[in-house]
Amino acid sequence: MNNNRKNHKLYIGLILAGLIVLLILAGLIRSPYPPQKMEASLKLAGISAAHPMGCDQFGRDILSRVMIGARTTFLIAFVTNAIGLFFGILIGALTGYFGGFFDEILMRFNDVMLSFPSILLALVLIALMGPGTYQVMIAMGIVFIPSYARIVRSEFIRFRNMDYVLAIRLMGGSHLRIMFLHILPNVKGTILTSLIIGFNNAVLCEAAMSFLGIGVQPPDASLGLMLSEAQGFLFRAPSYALLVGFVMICMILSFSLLSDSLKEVQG
Amino acid sequence: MMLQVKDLSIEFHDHLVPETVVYDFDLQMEPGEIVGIVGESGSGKSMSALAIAGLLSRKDMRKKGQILYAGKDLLTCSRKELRALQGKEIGMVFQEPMHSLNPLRKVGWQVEEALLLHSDLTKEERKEKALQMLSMVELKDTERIYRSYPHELSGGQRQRVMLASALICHPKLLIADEITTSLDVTVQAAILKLLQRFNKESGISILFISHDLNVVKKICQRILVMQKGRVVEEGTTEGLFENPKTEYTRELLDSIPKIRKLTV
Repeated sequence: MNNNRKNHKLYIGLILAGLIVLLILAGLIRSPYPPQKMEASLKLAGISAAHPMGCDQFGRDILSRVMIGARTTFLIAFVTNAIGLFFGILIGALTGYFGGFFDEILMRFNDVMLSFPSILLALVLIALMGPGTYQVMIAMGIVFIPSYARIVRSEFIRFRNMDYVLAIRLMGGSHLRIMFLHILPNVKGTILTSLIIGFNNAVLCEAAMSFLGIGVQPPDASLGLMLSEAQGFLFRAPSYALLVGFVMICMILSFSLLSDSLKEVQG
Repeated sequence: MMLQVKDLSIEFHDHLVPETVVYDFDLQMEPGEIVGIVGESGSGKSMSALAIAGLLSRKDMRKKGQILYAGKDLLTCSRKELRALQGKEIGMVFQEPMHSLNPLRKVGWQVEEALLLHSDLTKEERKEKALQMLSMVELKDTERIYRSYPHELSGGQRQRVMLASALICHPKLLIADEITTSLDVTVQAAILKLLQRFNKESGISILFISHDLNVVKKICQRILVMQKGRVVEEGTTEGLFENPKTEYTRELLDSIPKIRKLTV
């Protein structure tokens, strides 16, 4: 590890992530205004001391809505990746470690899933389940499984014939023990970096789906939904779209920077 | 008779044409005996050893014959029975100490693992046993080694750690697959001495696989010579070195570099 060169990316990433987390935590405790409270006199009001980010088309305080919107977006990204990762590791570990006929079938099915653009596949699933926050989580979670399965599988194939895996088999260790106590820790680094890329993809994917009106439904707030609302008033209140977009950029940038710096630390 | 291998053949079935790598391999081992298998690369010595250790996969491969360990056939017994034998009765150490340890686990954890699988000792007892084992393989500063990661150790140290983890459950048979090959000569000699000491003190049988005839000569009582998947000659170490019966063994013996006196 190189300690002489300062890891600027790590610090910037940490600061940005800290800001976002602070925003979300503050929203959990108390937002400046109730996020659904409308005030007709403040329609599309600009930035002021009372409303640091201005107000939206119904006179709702944007800062308060960004607070809960960022939380929803974060939660969706988190759950989506948790689903994708859990099943991805399970499928990838089994197919990669054992190989054979089962592996062939699951991987061809995987190829089929991967050959669709992910947003299209999520659209189909949403069409089956109907729109809503939880449906978005499940649909996107399913869409995220194949790519994780693929990554985990290739790593397991790399490690399954290592001498130390043989050595543990010779000690009488079971396959499950080898898979999850010995190989998985070695795959951890690869999973971590792909997890962060997956997280960013999920944030963008949620934004795209809410933008299309099939994601989070009003009056709930998410960053994607707020962006799609803001586009109607792009010229009358450009600060609305710009500020929400800025928060989203911060979120994605912080995770990209963290991922990059983690890769550097890993070497 | 503790280990008896009868007519073992190993055939690969993972390509279009089946390929036989070991033909009619026979071996008998008594308790406390050190038997060597020598041969060039690809002669099937490692494959035979892996088969005896029960490490060859059960698909893609056809095995004929019998491997009887204490009367039990390792080729046909259930996985559960096999796993109970592995580690407890049969231990194995591989050629590359660099790759034989999990790089992300501390040495102590890995040495203890066999105990975790085969005994119900408490955590403290396991640690005590592991430290004791580490000092038995003549490692110094065992507390530090117990807490270090594999990359912090030298090749010789790692090979000693491997020995410790293979021997911690006191197996009756140790399979040593080219364990001295990647070590330098002084470390080689030390490891060989260690093996001999274990053999004398605890009566462990050792199946010693190597392509280095000098090493085999030092440690083994009986030697099998393999070529192209077949055992071409078998005999006591002296008999074989004094009076090789087949052409191949003679060639093999002639290939040992000899130090001649330089005449100026």
